[in-house]
Amino acid sequence: MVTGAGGGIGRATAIACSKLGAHVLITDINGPALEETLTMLDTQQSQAHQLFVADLTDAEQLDELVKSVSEIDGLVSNAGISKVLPIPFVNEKDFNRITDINAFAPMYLTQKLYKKKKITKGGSIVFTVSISGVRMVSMGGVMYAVSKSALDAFMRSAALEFAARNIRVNSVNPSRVNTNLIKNNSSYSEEDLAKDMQTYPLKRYAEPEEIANAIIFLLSDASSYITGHALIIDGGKTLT
Amino acid sequence: MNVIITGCNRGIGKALVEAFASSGANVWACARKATPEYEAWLKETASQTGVWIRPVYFEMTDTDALNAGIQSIIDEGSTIDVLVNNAGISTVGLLSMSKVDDIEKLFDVNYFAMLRIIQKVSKKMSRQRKGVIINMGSIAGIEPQPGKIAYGCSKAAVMMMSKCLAKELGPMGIRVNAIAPGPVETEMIHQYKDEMLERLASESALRRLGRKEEIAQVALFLASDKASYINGEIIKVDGGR
Repeated sequence: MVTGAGGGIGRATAIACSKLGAHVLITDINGPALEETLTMLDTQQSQAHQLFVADLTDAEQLDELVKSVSEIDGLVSNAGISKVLPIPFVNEKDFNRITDINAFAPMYLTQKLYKKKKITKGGSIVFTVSISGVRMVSMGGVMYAVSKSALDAFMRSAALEFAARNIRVNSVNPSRVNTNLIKNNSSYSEEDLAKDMQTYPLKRYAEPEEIANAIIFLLSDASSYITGHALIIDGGKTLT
Repeated sequence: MNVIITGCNRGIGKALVEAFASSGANVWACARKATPEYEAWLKETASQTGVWIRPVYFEMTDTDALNAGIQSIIDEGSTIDVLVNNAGISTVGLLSMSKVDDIEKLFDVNYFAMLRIIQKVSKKMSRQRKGVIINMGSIAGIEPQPGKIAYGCSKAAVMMMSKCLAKELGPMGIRVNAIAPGPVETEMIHQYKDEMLERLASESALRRLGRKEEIAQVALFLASDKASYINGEIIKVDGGR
């Protein structure tokens, strides 16, 4: 199951999973974008990919999603949003919305899937967190950072508890990725972005596929002794 | 893909050679000294996997031999895609029972010899504008423990070195990362008593020791283009601690 599969890292991950022969269930709040992802999935090994349009912050829709699943070997919880506001301008509406989508929705989704025994023994859960809140903070990024550090703490707690069923729990923590979150963001000019890239040792942002590849590594048995790890994928950005 | 691996004659090193060869990579397999068993094993692995594996022998503490060994690899003129710095020794000793001279010797192997190898190989990699360096750290370099002033500190140094070099060499197209294994089932760990091994296993969330193949798989991932944006990272492979 891949959440936030309507674009960016989620879409790249769903496509990569399907190419490796996985039967993929994709979900997103954006129906048309999700439909588009479905058409991009590889169908050579599985034709039975499923799509489920849902707002994961809505308890009823979350229950419906969980109910629709028989059994999954891997969960990629990827959906997330961002908004830049300095602390004096932080308001309850924005803060709650960001925390609901970035932290509470993935936590409750995971809890429900685990409780209903929908995740197979030996399965793997991967959260898309961020370097923000985990390794660094930025001006105006407080709401995003707080939500992501909460998810980081949940990831490690789940790794500890779910090991009893041999379910591994890890996260990928990207820096900036070339997704619409960056491209269509009017807060940054092209000059700003070019300048910012120079602060990365690899001198560029990540491509969504590079994050997807790391997610696949964490889903696979190649990482069978890794649990509770926050995998940083930032081209060296947060080295201090 | 052409890979240099150090410490190939036992434990994780052997698993590394097998994993890389199985994935189709050619290997310069560095070890302390030639033995018939070692050479036979290398030959068998090479013939089973269809790659070449060339043994290179040097003592980590013999700087002249180390330089000559690495130089012989560079002189072959082939591309060096990956360097896996795996060779290392482990000790346990309380401060009051330790000789600082012995700790210095351990640092010579675990830290300084590794640095010498990286210095030579990274020069070649920077001319290629491409390369991957993977250093074996340890959870002992992250979690403080009594008795680990030598081993733990040497591994902490290795991991800090990896991060510094990731920053320094990243602009030249060289990625540098480290792996921090928890206790792994190897010949080395069986110096401990069974009760100790049980305790070590129970300390991980997965309630077992790591397998050397599980460490090798992580190295294989870091060496591949699948990890093309991972730089300066320490991957803990510890079953959750």
